[in-house]
Amino acid sequence: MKLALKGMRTLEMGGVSSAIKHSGVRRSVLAICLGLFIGSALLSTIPEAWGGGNPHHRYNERWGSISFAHPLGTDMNRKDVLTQLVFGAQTSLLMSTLSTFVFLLAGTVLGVLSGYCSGWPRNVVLAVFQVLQIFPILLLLLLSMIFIEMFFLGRMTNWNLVILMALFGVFSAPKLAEMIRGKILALKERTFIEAAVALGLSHRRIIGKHIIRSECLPIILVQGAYIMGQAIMVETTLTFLKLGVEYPVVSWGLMLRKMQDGMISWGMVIQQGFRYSWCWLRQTEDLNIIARDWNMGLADFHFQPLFPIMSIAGSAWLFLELARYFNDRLRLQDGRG
Amino acid sequence: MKKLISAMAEVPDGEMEDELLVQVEGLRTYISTPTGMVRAVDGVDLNVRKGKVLGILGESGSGKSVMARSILGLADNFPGVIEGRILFRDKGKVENLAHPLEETTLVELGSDGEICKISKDMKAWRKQIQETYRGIWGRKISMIFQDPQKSLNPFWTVGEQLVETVENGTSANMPETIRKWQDVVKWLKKVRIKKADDVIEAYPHNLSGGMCQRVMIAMALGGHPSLVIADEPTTGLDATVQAQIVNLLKSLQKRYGTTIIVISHDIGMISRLADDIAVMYCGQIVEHGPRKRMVDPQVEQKHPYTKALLESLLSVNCDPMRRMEGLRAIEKEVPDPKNPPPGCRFHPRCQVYQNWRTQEGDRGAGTRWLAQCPLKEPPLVKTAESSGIRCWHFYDEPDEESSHV
Amino acid sequence: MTKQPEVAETWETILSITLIAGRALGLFLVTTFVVFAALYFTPGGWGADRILVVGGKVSTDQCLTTLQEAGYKLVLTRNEGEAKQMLEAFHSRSREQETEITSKVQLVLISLEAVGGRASSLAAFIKEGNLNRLPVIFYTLGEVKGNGQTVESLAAFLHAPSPEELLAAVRAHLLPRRWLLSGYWKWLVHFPGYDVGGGPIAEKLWSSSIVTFTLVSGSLTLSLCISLVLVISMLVWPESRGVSIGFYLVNFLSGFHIVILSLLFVAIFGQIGSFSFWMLPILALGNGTLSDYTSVLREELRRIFSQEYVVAAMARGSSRVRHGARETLVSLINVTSSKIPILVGGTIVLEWVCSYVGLGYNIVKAIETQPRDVNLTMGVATVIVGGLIFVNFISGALRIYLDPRISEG
Repeated sequence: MKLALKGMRTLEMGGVSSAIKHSGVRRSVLAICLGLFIGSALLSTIPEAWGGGNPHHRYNERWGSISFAHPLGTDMNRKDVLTQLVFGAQTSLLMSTLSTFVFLLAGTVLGVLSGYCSGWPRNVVLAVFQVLQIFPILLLLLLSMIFIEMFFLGRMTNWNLVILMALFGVFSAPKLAEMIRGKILALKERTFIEAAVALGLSHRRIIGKHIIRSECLPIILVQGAYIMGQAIMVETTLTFLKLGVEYPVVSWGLMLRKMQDGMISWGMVIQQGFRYSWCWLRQTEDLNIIARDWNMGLADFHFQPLFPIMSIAGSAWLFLELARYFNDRLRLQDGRG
Repeated sequence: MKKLISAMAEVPDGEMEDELLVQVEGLRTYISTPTGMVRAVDGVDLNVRKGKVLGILGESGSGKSVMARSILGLADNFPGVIEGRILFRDKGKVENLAHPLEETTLVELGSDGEICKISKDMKAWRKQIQETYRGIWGRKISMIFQDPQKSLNPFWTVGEQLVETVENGTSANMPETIRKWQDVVKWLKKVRIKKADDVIEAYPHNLSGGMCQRVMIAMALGGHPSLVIADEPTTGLDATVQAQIVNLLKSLQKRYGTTIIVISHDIGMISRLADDIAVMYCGQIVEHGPRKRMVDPQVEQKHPYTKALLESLLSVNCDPMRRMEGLRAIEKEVPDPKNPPPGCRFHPRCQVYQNWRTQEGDRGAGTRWLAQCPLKEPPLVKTAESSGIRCWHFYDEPDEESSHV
Repeated sequence: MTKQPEVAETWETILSITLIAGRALGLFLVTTFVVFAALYFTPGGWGADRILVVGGKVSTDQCLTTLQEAGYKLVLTRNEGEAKQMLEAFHSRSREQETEITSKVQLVLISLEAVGGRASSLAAFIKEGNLNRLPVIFYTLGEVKGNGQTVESLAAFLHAPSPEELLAAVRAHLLPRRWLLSGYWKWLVHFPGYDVGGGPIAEKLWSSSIVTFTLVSGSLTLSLCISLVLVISMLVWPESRGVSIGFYLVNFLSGFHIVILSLLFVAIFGQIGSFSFWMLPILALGNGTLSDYTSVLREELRRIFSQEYVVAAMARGSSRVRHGARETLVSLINVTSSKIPILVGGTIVLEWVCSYVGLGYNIVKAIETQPRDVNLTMGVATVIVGGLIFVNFISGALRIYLDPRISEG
């Protein structure tokens, strides 16, 4: 009797499967990170007189190291990195909220329109969706800059970014609209809409609320969280490409752009480090020379650019995880049917 | 307490055994879902007589399709088939199709005799199933699936799919290929498809449901199998088309002498096609017997469920009194397969039991064991040559009849 | 065996493909026209129809009257100081100093008499500033005084031209701006050789296209290969630890946006202006292309091979792989065509950060810098838009050819 013991899957009868794990840990981690993000954005609204920070105040040191007064150091313009991060959070939050709002509004409206109505509005909307999905959103935003300039006669004002973020919401809306349309079509199949109309719930709006509240809310939540993360990244990218805000408004993308030069020595440090360890392992060359090169590189090494990178990646990850969390919670509740 | 399954079965003696093509013993197929373990097939015994048609009758959710797939080795979910033997008699040899269970599955029973732990090596199971069924699929046992449109490959033409099964193999040899195509056309004519040439070049979504089902029947019979399993072959088709398919199946069965297992919830179709009928409820066979006995309204000894099924039929020809009563439904709903009722699974909906419970008196014949209904599962008891019934109402002491558990 | 249904099927396919080809072409024309129109009306664009005239008087100068009659609007200034002020406003970034007039200036006409015949500091200003794309024409009605040589070396110089000659010279430097549509047509027909004073863009466009094309296709094939390897090894060795680690790694690395990844890339490797192999995986990762490929492929494979018809095929004794292959291919094409826009977007960022001159670099530069090089912008936009539409058309056509369930129109 040979029994293959490797690779067996075992199941205990009578126990509910572990798939429904409303993990408390996951929820609290997400809540903490979200709180940090929003908190720092709100922190920046405290005026300086009451103890808030000024991101443009120049201190003594260029590329200052971590200290009590400057928990994250200072940058090449002698400004405090932490304050800049906090103020940048405000910009990111504002812009991405705007984007998300526009996205949800446009997506829901267009989705309901294309799912509900028949006739030429539906065909036009669908055709527009098809077209929009061919082009990368970044390219569309770049080309929209030309149009914006036409109207503004001009140059880079800070309002450009606001319009671009709103446009980003609009350009991302087709995805949401198609999901909602799919849901509505599926509901239509079930003909309870016809029944409702026949019963005299004639007002389309009432039915619309019914549909949206009960069926589409999960989709809206998940997609909304996802697009918040995307919007933060897009805002960063646009500011980085000089298409967004400029001084005196603080933004993470701006920080990245300014600190780009400060990252030059990273390559040298890392490469020298590899060479050093390689030679140390093989005992081939004179380690002192390499160590000297490395020290020279280290002298120029600035770790400060790491912080905006981490905050950008972190906030994008936060919203991605939030979307995934909503997805799991709501999908499971959905899937029992 | 561990229970191990033996690989090869001994051939039991008995005059019935020569005529049996397939013998299913104690088959259990469970499916694990996020919300619980579904006991799709919970201890099923079947005897399929060679050259005859066996009809399996039951509501949706009774586990009929899962059982058909288990017999054919298509139950691929975790844990799938966990117990049982599927004996297939072919050319004098008997093979247990479920023999991979021995090496891959471990079922542990708790102190109360109930299953408490299941361990299965899915990878090894799938590999061994592939090996076991390689010569069987399409050649010895084939299956007709429920939704004909979905069961055909939408990316291939019908002809390309038929050619595969007609001779069961591909060949680059030109005369061979031509001969196979001619066979294909012949088969299409056999399933009464006119304009065979058009159909060969068409895609499944161009054809109607009835046509697709005929194509499926041609594919199922093309390899000249010994057993064909038809899983709800007429569900989803129009009523007139249903009748055509049923007639087609009957004539093909007569012509080629294939053994067929038909699975359906349509009593009319089963009674037209089947020689033997088995009624399935909640993963178990509750009654089985020859067709005459099962559908004859005069025979009184019937499982309450079977009786209720037959009564729910309202035909054009029944008497006016019956027609005035209107539709008779079986009360309450099909139980949740994850949590079947204790004791006899039909007892919450059983008229006999409910009547006995509400009326204090009436301790007449046949009511001796009714107290067991909510407590213990009744065993499947042989009542005649090839009939059995699983009901406390018809239960007799084991020393009088031989019981088959 | 009759062949008629097959022929009908082929005709249907050809018809559908022609339909989507027509749609693609229409979309291309519409989009490029829209961009053209935007650039036309934008400050400094082709629609700019104003000529800055220094020192001429319309009442006395026959040439100027001819120009006006030809439809050009003249901005008259008395001396170079005023003209310089106006052009400075054009160049500056603050809106208060700018006026609508100056943003539409496309040509500067300088009458030598008015500036006293000297080597004009205005011309020097135009050349040394960033305005050297503004064409300058000097003309004189009479004798040249002073440093005629210096003047000639700076700009076009016309010696006592007749009104028609001046008109011809002006026209040579500006697109005929009468109609938007004919301008668009001319530009389209002469693309990309048409030179509107920005220098020929044909070579630039060609080399940038090659660069971007290699980046995009390279990273696409790389993602495809890696994800196929991962998914197939997951199917063959489902319990393998290495494969799971591979999946987690891919998902983790894809969490970083392309901006961050390219910054890190530049940080580590330095600012190289030429191709490096590592750009491909970074592009593949930073857009989520690789991770999307792996997760979608995994799900799709699972879905396809548990479909009813595949199971039915297995129960007939046929090979599952053969039956599922077609649908997998169609699914792959779908995924790829939906990932390409995102990939192109990431390429734009990567090229900009690494200063790697490709289409993305050019378009960002074209949009960023002021005054706008309209020719280059239009050229790059046309190539990118055309390429994307073409790719979309190809994927649509492939889908129609492979999937018998689809038919357009």
